[in-house]
Amino acid sequence: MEKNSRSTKESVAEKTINPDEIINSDEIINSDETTNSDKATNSGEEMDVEQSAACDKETASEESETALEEAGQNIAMQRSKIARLKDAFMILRSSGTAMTGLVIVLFWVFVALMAPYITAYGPMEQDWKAPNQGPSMEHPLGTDELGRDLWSRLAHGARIVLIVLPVNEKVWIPGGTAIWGVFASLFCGACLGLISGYKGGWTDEIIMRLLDAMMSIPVILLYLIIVAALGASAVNVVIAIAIVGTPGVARLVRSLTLDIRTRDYVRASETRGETLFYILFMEILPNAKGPIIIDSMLRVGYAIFAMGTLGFLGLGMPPPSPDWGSMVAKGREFILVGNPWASLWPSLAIASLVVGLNLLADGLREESMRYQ
Amino acid sequence: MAKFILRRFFLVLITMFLVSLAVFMIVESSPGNVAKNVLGAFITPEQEASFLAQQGLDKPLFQRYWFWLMGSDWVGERKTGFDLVQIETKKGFLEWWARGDDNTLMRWSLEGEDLILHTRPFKTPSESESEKSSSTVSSTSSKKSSGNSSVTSSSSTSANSSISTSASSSISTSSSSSISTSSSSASGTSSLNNSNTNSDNNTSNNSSGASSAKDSEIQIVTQKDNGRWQASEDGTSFFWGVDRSNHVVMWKKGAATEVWTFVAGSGWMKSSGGPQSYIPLKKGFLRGDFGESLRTGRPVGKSLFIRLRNSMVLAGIAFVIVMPLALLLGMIAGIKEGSFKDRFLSIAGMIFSVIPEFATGIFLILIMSHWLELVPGAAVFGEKAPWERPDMLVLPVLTLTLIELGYVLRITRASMAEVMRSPYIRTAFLKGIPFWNVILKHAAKNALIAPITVIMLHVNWLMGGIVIVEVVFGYPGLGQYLLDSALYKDVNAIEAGTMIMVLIAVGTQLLADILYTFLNPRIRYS
Repeated sequence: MEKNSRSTKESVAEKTINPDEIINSDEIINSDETTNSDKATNSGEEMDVEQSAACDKETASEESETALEEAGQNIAMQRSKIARLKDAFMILRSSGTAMTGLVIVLFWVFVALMAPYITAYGPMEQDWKAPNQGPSMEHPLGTDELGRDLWSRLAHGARIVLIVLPVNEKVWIPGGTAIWGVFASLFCGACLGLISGYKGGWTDEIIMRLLDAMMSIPVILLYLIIVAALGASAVNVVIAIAIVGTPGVARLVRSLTLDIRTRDYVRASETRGETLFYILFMEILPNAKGPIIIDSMLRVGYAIFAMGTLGFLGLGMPPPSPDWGSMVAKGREFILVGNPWASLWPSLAIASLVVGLNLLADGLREESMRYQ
Repeated sequence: MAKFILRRFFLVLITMFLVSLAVFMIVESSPGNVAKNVLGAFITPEQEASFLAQQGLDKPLFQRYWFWLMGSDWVGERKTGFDLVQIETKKGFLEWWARGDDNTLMRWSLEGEDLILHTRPFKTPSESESEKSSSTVSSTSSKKSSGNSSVTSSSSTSANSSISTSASSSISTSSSSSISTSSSSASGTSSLNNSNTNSDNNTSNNSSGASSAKDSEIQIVTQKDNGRWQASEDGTSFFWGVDRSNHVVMWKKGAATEVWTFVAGSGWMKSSGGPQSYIPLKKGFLRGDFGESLRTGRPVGKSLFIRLRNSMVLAGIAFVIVMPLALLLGMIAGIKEGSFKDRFLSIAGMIFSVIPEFATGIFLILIMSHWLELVPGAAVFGEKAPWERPDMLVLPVLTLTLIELGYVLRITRASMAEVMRSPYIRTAFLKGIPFWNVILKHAAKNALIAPITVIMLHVNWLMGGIVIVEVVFGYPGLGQYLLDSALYKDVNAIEAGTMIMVLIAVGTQLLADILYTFLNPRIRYS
């Protein structure tokens, strides 16, 4: 209770100070070379919040009272969260493209969440009397070649992308396939990037050369080989997305780490004799998260793109599941029969979701650049 | 500069090595089974084992990778004690033969307890060329016969009915040379026979004649050759030789195994006389041999070449259309940042570039082919080259164009906008230089540096687009080939396709770096 009130008060204070700080940060960028990372971030405000958080942490750690430090961290995190949400919303409101993107994305999230309640049929329910039909009152988007309702397959397909990860027939994990893929690549990439950037020397050289080699392989080839080798399942799609995404994340994190490791608070924790794990994940990573978050937003778009592509190539989910990509691949065969709908709707769905995410990210970046 | 290129070239080699190793490991470690993929799910364990042994897939991973990289003929030469040569038959099949001391080519097969030697004279390429032109008469009859090469021609007939000396224990190389001379005269008469009679007339009375009719310029002589058995320590006899399907094999006397061979179109053929172990012969990747496709049994290099050409045609046409258009539109958008033109072009470009290729392809098929019925919705060429059916190229090219257009447009726009903000452009305007003069002479030159190099780096991504477009339209290109191979776990084909793609990707990256130093003199690599 007490904490909450404190944090809200501070966030209000933060809000009022914000304009000054922005000016400050501009000056810093112009004068001081050590804050290069501000340029790297796309949102200056977020970084400011984090810098102040870092300052809090620094003073706390110098007192070397862990309890106090944790409390300070918590407050800083909460405050920055609220501030970020508010900022993000303000930015969104002012940008037409971002709002459009948000509406599209929210629509699909809603559909995915509510899929069982807004569809009249199950995604695998077959109606042998009505295969390959166009839109009608009974089936709003038509049916596919087995008489399955396209709308309910679309909705449940959105669920797989955004809400649940089907591990096998029975087990489902919350968090969509695309989301898990991005998380996995973030995890691997962050670990490699942190170690590589912090250690430097031979470790850095070896890791980065290996990742360079990986990046030089055409993305599609990597997907093909990985999924063809592992077999088609949701978990393997996650693995494929993670492996393909890792080099990019690692490069970004490394470049941020290279900058952050010269900071005083990292020096201080080194002097204190902290473990490598602590320095990497408690000191460096939290201070690098701003750009990483923005990057990962775009990565979700790529992951959905990749999921669709894999599904289309027959490397996605196993057949009966309502995977958008494989729906397109199947429906493509029935265009000549006279049923364009089965391939049209899933194509439209995947295109709109990816475009929505990109519009959102684009609008956000554009608006936040305006304040830099 | 030279040092930089050398270093990068070295890195390219290392990358390719690592990638090939990784692909081998991944394909190896994955579940699933090549034999079942290629031959269907209902093969018996014996058939599967026989297939794996013949393809050399039962060898350890390390050894297979080594053979793939360096070739296996030198191992075969050490085992057999002969020079091994690869020749191309008239029908375009590559065959491996052992070369004897007197320039005859030898292969063996096993029938019961007997080793059968097949010989043919060795010709240098120029000789066989002249022979080709002279033997056009008999080639008409050779087309009628159904056998696809000399390998299968005399396999089932009683092979020892030829002009061989009675198969005594000692057949030296001198005797085999006399046989080859006598066989050439005999085959001369038999080919005369053949031109007179129908092809169904040549029964077992002259098997050498049959073989000469099938591969018009060469005469394959068969005879018993039991003198080559070598005694092993435990009393059995064995022999390392070249068999008739391009392996170096070890036969054991009296211990012939059953062989299952899969003949495309006619199913499994069971035959006896199988060897104990196989080493498939190949020259190795480093000497330009991609190996044989497990899926089709054809050399990978040949089919890959056609596919690569098709893909290049597609990518080339799209590239020629995209580049000028995207650069032009990008510059128009970048001239005035934030204007309606700019916003429209950049958002449209973004939308086109982020929509998955298959979705764009489906939209185009539906609109252009299904509803408007303007162009065909698939690209099926059969034997024809892509440029012979330009109407089928329209949609694939259009799809690729739309995807690439957005990307290049946005890069150009960003670069142009940055240049337009720079002080020297403002100075130029203030000096009173005409608007288009400033744009074309001052701004465009600088603004185009970034896009040109970034486009090169984008080739990586473009290849992904091509693969999908090929699948959407059924276009017979490299991507489709690679996808099929990956689904079949056809490791030789995957490796070959991967190497080509990586080479293109890394090569263009290197090219981009070099180009950049020329376009932007401020950068020097040292």
